[in-house]
Amino acid sequence: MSRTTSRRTLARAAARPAQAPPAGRDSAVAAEIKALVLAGKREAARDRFAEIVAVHQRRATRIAYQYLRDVHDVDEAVQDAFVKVFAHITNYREDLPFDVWFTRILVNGCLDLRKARARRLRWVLPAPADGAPPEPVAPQPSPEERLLASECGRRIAAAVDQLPERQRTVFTLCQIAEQSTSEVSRTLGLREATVRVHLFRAVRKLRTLLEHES
Amino acid sequence: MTMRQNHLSDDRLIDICLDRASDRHDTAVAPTESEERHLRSCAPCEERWTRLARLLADVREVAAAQADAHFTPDRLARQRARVLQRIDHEARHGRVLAFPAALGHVPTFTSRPRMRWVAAAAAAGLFIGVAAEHVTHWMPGRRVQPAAVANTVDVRPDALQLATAPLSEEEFLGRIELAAEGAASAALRPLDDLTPRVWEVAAR
Repeated sequence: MSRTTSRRTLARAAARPAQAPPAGRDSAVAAEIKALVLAGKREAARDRFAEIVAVHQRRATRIAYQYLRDVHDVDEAVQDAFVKVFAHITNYREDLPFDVWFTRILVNGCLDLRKARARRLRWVLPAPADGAPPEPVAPQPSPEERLLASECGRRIAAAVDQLPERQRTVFTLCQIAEQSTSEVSRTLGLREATVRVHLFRAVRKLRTLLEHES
Repeated sequence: MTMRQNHLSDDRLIDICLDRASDRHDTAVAPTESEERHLRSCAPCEERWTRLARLLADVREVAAAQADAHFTPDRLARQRARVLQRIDHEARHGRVLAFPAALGHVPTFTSRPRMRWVAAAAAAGLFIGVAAEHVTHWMPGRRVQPAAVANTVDVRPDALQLATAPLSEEEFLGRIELAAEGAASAALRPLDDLTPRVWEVAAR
C-alpha cells in the first residue's frame, strides 16, 4: 500500500462511522412515531419505536460507557433515555435530527447519573468487594475482551478518563459516537468553533498522555 | 504559516487531522497547498500524521470494544425488551382519566345575588360577635384576673413530677406491665402472649 493510500484510508476511518445509523431515516421514523402517538395508535408507535431502539442501542451503550464505566449504570442510563424519548415523542421537532435529540437526552441522563453516583459515594460506604455480585460475562473471552484486557486498552481508557469533562464529552461524541462537529454543537448547545477547540485540546492531551507513557 | 524548521508543528497536524475527519471543512484550519505538498513529500511529517491518525483510530476502537465486551448481543436484546416493557408499563399506569366533561350547572357565587347577601350577613355577624366579645372583656367588672385563673388550675405535685421527671427504665417498664394487666387490655392478652419478652430474647 502506498503512503498516500494508507493516509487516505486512515482519514476515511477517522471520518466515517463504522455502524452509524443511516442519516435521516431514523428522523423519518421518529416523525412517524410522533404522528402515530398523536393519532392515539400507541401500540403501533411502540412497535415502530422498537426499530429505533435496535438501531441506536449499540451506539448509546458506547457513549454511556464512556461516561459511567459501570455496566449497571450504563444499562439504566440507556433504558431511561429511550423511555424518556418515547414519553416525549410528541415534543420531537422534525427540523432537528433524531440522532441529535436522542444523544442530548442520553448525555444529560449520563451526567445526572454521574452526579447521583458521586453523591452516593460521598455519604454511603462502598460495599466490600468480595460481597459484590459477580458481573455476568461471556464464558469465553471474546476478541473485544482480550483487547480490553490488554495493556494498550487500559492505558487508552485511563487517558480518556483523565480528560476534563467538557473535552471528554466533545471527544466522546466526535470520536466514539461518530458525530460531526456541527451535530455535537447542536447536541451540547455550543458554538461549532468551541466544539473544535475542545476537540483539539482533547486530542492534544490524549496524544501527550499516551505518547508520554509509551 | 505554522511551520517550524520546514516541518509541520504538532498542533497543526492535529488541526489537519481533525479537519479531514470533519464533514465540514473549515477554511481557517484546512491545510494550505504548501502544507499539502509538504505532507506528501516529507516522510517524517507523514509518519507523525499517520501516528496521530492511528492513535485516534485506536482510541475509538478500544472505547467501542470496552463497551461491546460488556454489552453482548444477548444483553442488548434483554435491554431492548426491558425498554419496551417499561414503555408498556408506563402506558398502563400513566393513563390520565378524562375529567368529566358533562358536569351539570355549577352555581357560582357571583351568579346568585341571594348567596352574596347570605355571605355578607355571615361576615357581618362574625365581625359584630368578635367586637362585642372584645368590648365585654375589657369592661371593669368583667375582667378576669390572672391570679384567679391560676388558682382554678389544679396542680398536683405528683402529676407535675410525672410529666417532668425522667422515668427510669425500671419504672417505665413497670407502668407498662400495670397497664397491660388492666381489664381494658384483656383483648390484647393473646397478642401479648405471642410476643417474646426482652429477657427471653437476651437469654438466647
